[in-house]
Amino acid sequence: MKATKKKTIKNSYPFEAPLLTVKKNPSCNEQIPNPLNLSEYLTPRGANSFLVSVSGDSMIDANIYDGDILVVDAAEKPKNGSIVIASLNGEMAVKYFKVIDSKAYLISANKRYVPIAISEYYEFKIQGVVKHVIKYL
Amino acid sequence: MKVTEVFITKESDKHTIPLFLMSVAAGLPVAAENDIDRSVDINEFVVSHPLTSFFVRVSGWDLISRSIDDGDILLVDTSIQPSHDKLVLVNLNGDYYVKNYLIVDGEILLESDSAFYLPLKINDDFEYQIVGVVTVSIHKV
Repeated sequence: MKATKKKTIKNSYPFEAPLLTVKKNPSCNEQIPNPLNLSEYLTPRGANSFLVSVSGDSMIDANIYDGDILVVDAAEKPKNGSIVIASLNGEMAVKYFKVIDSKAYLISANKRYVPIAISEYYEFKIQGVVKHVIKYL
Repeated sequence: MKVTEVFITKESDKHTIPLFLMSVAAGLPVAAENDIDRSVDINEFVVSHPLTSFFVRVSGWDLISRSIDDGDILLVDTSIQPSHDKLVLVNLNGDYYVKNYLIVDGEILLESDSAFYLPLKINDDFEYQIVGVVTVSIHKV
């Protein structure tokens, strides 16, 4: 690799700007009791939780892949943007739940799928909010 | 990927919760042909060898190609022998790391996605110990 000298460094004026510390991922600040009780950690509300095994590629941008197991809390109220298990005309799906201009949508985490606008013609119910993703490596 | 916390698994009472199998293959929800509803014990379901397993928590994004995110909890099984392309918990000069275990031309390499670290070639003058194989990852949504 050849190197040629281009320019010398000169201090003509000082430049000052605040240095910000990068905040760590908030999930990392979560305190987990040690020893870890797996069932208490994954399903703190006990009987209100259930597991779903998923297939398909509609949630890959949310890091949910074919064969993953989701821990779902049926008692939690979904927030705007939550990943939910929803039943639509009797079938279950995992999607983002979003409210835009007071209309509810089910949105995939994969651009190949179009959002589903929830209308009164659908038999629609949110079964629970996805809390954890379990992957077998 | 560096290990930030190590947890031991606690034996607890049976804790069964229902398991559903479903399909999310298309944009519109599609019926799964094999919708089986059953109840499982969450501990047994996740941990297949409770006596030889423990949890670690990792930080960093250098195993994102294996869908392991910053802050995830990993289950490490010490009874499994490492094999090619498995994630392992390794003690390197006193620090614990999670790396991808590769065997290339009879040589053991430990690698991650990070562009900062080259794959580590393991030889005799290296102080290392493979503690166990990562079998499950748990990601908080």
